[in-house]
Amino acid sequence: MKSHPKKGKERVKLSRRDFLMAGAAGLGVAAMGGLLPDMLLAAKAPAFKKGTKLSILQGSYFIAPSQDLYKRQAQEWGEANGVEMSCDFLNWPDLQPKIAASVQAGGYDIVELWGGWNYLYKDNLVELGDIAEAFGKRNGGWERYVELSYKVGNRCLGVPHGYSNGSMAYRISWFKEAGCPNAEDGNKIDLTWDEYFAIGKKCKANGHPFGQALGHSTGDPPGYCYPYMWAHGAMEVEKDGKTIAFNKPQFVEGMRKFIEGWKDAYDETGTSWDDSNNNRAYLSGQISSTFNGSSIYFTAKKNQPEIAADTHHILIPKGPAGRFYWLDTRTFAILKNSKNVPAAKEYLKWWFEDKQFGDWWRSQEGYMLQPVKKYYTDPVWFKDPKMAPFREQPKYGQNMGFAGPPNEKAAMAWSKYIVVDTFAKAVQGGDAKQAIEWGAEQLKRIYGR
Amino acid sequence: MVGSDVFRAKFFSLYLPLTLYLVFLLFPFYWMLIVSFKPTNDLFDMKFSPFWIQQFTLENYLYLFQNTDFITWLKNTLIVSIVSTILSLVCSIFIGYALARLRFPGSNFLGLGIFLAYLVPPTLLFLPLAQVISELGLNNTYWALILTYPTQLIPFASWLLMGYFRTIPKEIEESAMADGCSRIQILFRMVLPLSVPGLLSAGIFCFTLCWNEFLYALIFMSSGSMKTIPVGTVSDLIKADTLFWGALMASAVLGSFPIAFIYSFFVKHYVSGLTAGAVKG
Repeated sequence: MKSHPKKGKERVKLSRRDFLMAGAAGLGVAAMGGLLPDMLLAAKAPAFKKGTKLSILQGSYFIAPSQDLYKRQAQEWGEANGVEMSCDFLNWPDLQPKIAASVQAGGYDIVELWGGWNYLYKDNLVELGDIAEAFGKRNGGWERYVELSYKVGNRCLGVPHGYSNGSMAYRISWFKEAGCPNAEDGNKIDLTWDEYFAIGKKCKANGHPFGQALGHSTGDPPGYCYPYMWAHGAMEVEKDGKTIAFNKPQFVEGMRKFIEGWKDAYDETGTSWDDSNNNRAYLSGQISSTFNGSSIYFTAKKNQPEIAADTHHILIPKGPAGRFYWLDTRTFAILKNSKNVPAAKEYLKWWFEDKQFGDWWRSQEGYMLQPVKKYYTDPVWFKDPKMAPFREQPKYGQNMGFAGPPNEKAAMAWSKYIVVDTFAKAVQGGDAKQAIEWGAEQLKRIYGR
Repeated sequence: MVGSDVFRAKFFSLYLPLTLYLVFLLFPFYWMLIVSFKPTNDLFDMKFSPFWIQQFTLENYLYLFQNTDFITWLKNTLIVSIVSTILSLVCSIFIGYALARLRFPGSNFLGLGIFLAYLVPPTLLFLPLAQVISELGLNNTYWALILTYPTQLIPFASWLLMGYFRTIPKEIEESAMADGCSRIQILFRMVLPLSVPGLLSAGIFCFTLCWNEFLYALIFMSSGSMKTIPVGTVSDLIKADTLFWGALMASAVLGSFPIAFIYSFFVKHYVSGLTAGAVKG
């Protein structure tokens, strides 16, 4: 490049060739320094018309910093693209009426859907196959539970981002006292339901019963009852989605054992408990084991470190038909009545990139199960061995409505708590057969329509 | 002794049942209050009696004020409740008076229709109302609630006031009319001053309903800081299956205070307003 010595205030003149060369060199340096994407992003004019707004609705996060991170990420994208972002987080049971109102009358562009809701609102959601498939492919493919449920027929109406599920939390010292081998390391314990109840019987005799919520609550009761049902050879329906497969002899036998186990091993007030009661009972030392998300452990780490130190998790026990977890896919979906579908799609495409999604998922420290296989080996899972059982859950995941599709009928059976009520009726009435017959009749009314 | 027998009889037939009833009624408030003043760890510690405070703390109230938008929720709830109550009362006065005093074709049918409107549950109404609110562009504004709450308030308040207006002797109005008062003048100069207990009970009823309402507040106005106390409390103080019990109870205590305050001042009028018209003289 020729030099152009300055003369006083004389302007520096660049030939066209000099300009191109200087530009190319500058771009090269920037690209080498990894600045190019940022520069391009910064230089990009707002991609959407002025005044574009995106409203996002999702359930509130147990891990508060993850909720803050999500808000920051949305804000960051909004500022870079000239879009005003707003994020709302609601108590879980309040999510569905709010979404129903938005489907009817608008209000939100992006909503978080839980299991079966993509079927429920299938006519009101934007097809997002391109974003979902790219995300899945880039990250080693979907985990099994996602694979089974993220599509409605052939349509992909949301991008899966995981699921928060429970496992069996237990008190190490009380399991030791009850004679459970390897009690200090839950990763070395592999129990059948019978063995689990047997430990519970000893714990209860020692004044530390197990606790389980069997009330009408969205998480723990179905999270416990569905796997128990599947592990004993029963299902709501066969693969055809119509034939009821609930009243099976093996399940009746399993339910008899459950009734016995409930009496011998459990705090029997659990029939009226909801998702929060077992947390309270566990943290107050009332119970020695319960099916719950990692929230008990995280809360104990924060407020009661002595209980956290004495807590571990094990995989949910297995039954004659195997081990199962009730997992559903949560997705971010775009409502068709949104006035900003292109902006919403661009935002989701950006958010599901490795950086944003990875940061967000890791910030949950294992509270959220991985939707894609790549994260099975993520360092997050190896930070705390007590969280390892959560990592394994996707392998055993089935969706509501299994062996049929996780459709609106499965969602209805779930929201009417038919499976959960069958368990509650069994322990209250003491008659396994009668309770299962009642459940089968209720399921017939839903699936037989 | 006769006196001690009377006291014993009264103790068992009156004071004891009343005391038990009082304990039963006040226990939830007592529980709310003590939980709000306990540190989180004490709530889960079974070594302590749950019925007493071992260690007094204001941390739950501080959490509420420092980590949530409680003051904004309070402001939102006050604005919505006061304006909806005034609007509903004004409409109900005219409706109640017309149904009580004016004779016009279809008045009975109209009265019944208004009452039936009260029986439609909000869970059925919220979806069509969401459409209306959206069409009017009122989503997430105070007006969304100010205009929807009266759909529940006006029918009941109208019937309550109609009953009260009927207890006022017609002769007073007829005399006023003979002296040259118009209907409107009668309403404002005679009927309303005589109906203060009725107006107070209808007002308190409307205000309480608005203050505690959850579903409409959740659907029509819950974005960002536009939340009422009931919605803000559950959306910000319940995280998944973990409840911030201390802060939840602190919010419940502070949220109950205005209602308790109003009741304590007007309880006599409230009762007389509610029972007026129950017995025909």
